[in-house]
Amino acid sequence: MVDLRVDIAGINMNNPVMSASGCFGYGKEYAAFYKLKEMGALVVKGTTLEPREGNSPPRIAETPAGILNAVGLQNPGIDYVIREELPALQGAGTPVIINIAGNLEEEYIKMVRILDPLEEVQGLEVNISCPNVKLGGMAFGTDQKVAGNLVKAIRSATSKPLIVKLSPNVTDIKEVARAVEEEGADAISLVNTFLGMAIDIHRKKPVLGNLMGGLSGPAIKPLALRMVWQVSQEVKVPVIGMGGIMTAEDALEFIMAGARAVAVGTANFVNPYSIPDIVKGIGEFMVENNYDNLLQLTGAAWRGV
Amino acid sequence: MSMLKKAQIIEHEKKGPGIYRMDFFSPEISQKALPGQFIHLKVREEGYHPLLRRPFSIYDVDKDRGQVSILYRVVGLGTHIMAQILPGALMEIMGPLGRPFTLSKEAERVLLVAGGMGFAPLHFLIKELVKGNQVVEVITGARTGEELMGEDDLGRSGVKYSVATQDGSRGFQGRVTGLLEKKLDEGNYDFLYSCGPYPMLEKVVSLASTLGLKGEVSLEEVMACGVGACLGCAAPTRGDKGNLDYKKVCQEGPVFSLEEVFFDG
Repeated sequence: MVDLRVDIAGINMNNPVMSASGCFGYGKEYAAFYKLKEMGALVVKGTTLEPREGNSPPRIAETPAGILNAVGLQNPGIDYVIREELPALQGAGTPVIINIAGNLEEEYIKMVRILDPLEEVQGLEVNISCPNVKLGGMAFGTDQKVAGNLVKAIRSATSKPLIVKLSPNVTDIKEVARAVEEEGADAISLVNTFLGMAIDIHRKKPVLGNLMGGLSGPAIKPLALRMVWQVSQEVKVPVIGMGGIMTAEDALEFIMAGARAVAVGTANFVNPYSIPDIVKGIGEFMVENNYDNLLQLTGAAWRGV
Repeated sequence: MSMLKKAQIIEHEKKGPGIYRMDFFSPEISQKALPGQFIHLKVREEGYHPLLRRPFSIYDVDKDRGQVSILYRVVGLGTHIMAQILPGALMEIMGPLGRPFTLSKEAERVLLVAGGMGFAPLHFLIKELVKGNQVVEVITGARTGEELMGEDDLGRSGVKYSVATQDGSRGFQGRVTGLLEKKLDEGNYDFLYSCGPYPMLEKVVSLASTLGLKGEVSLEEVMACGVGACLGCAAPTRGDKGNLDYKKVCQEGPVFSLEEVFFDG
């Protein structure tokens, strides 16, 4: 019997495979396929204080082994999410983590204060890395001082486990990681999408309505893996690795690069059973290779060099 | 409950220039499918290019034979790969997905307006509508006579139909919306269904709203998850307060009422 359990900042997970924010709605879409308790944790769609209508279409452009998206954080706002979406997740048997995003620091603080007393919320993931909104979003995540200050303010407003999701669109991701760790992040998730674009040569214009979008999928896996490798050796807090994970083998690469847990995003769109399939595959790998505890594999590749 | 199953391709037939019909053996989907719904296909079993599934409206269903059919045109990498697949092969199908057409019971005379490949979801609907007592009329348009789809199937269904071609090689010369204007002048209809390219639908909606005619359209948008999780396939609609409200074509659509759809140019 292999032990797949992990603890991320006090969030006890039965296995290390979570959903990546924005790729799993509010859970009900995939509850039609399998029991959500099969996931390590559920990270919901990026939520803002006020409802957001999102960007004009097209919002998706497929690229080789990847997808550009520019959804623009369309969401019904925090009050609606708490009232209409969270009750269905109680009793789902998996920890629920709310991803929050904002334009201004006070928006983040207001949301954190609303969420802090809620028992049904096991953790917060602070999105400082959305590439598809004009204000805030990624702007918070590309300057280590700004990122640090925001995390400091949020930290003082909540005792809930605090995960900070970093943008890969920076010169040195280690610096941003150090800054948010210093200011009280309990865990760091990386990476969000890489800013990119596609052009329709027949119409001579960008494919996406928002012109630019965030690249996800297998195309970004080597880039994300490198960043997880770098950051997990730089900080003491646990790292949640994501970026193009499609299979258990991909997830194991991230774990061996130093990720305590992993998140699956784009893969859900292709195979709705991706998360349980990956959980199963990790377990099988451990059995085949005589590991009984997942922690034996965390950062295993550091020792290989 | 959504389903994900491997289904065998029974037949794969060329119907026109770059246009194919593909029939799958899928008893489960054939039992559940309703007109207006779609299936989400993985065109290639292995590999990451193309990465995403491809949505196709259900063109036909044969419950007795457990058969589900789609009609598609080769437009990009996914459909290019599909066109090479031989009968006997298996494809992974998710579905049936999406909000179906409403089968309006009160309407006595219904009109269906198809533009190009927009005929695909309407064909399944026609087959269901003709089972009732309503008068069902169909107008369908394409660029050329060669690209006019489903005349053989329409003939079999016994429905009254007329065609429009932009090159004038068949039927009314001009766009299907030109033919629609003529039809609306001549006859009284209670309900309208339509599917086709956006500019055509915009015209259809504007003609219908002038007459206060109710109806539904099926919209198309680039799609990723197909189940309402990613918000990638947003279409602008009119919200409760007349505000702009992006709805998910995959889950809240693809069928929308004429009052809901919104064209922001």
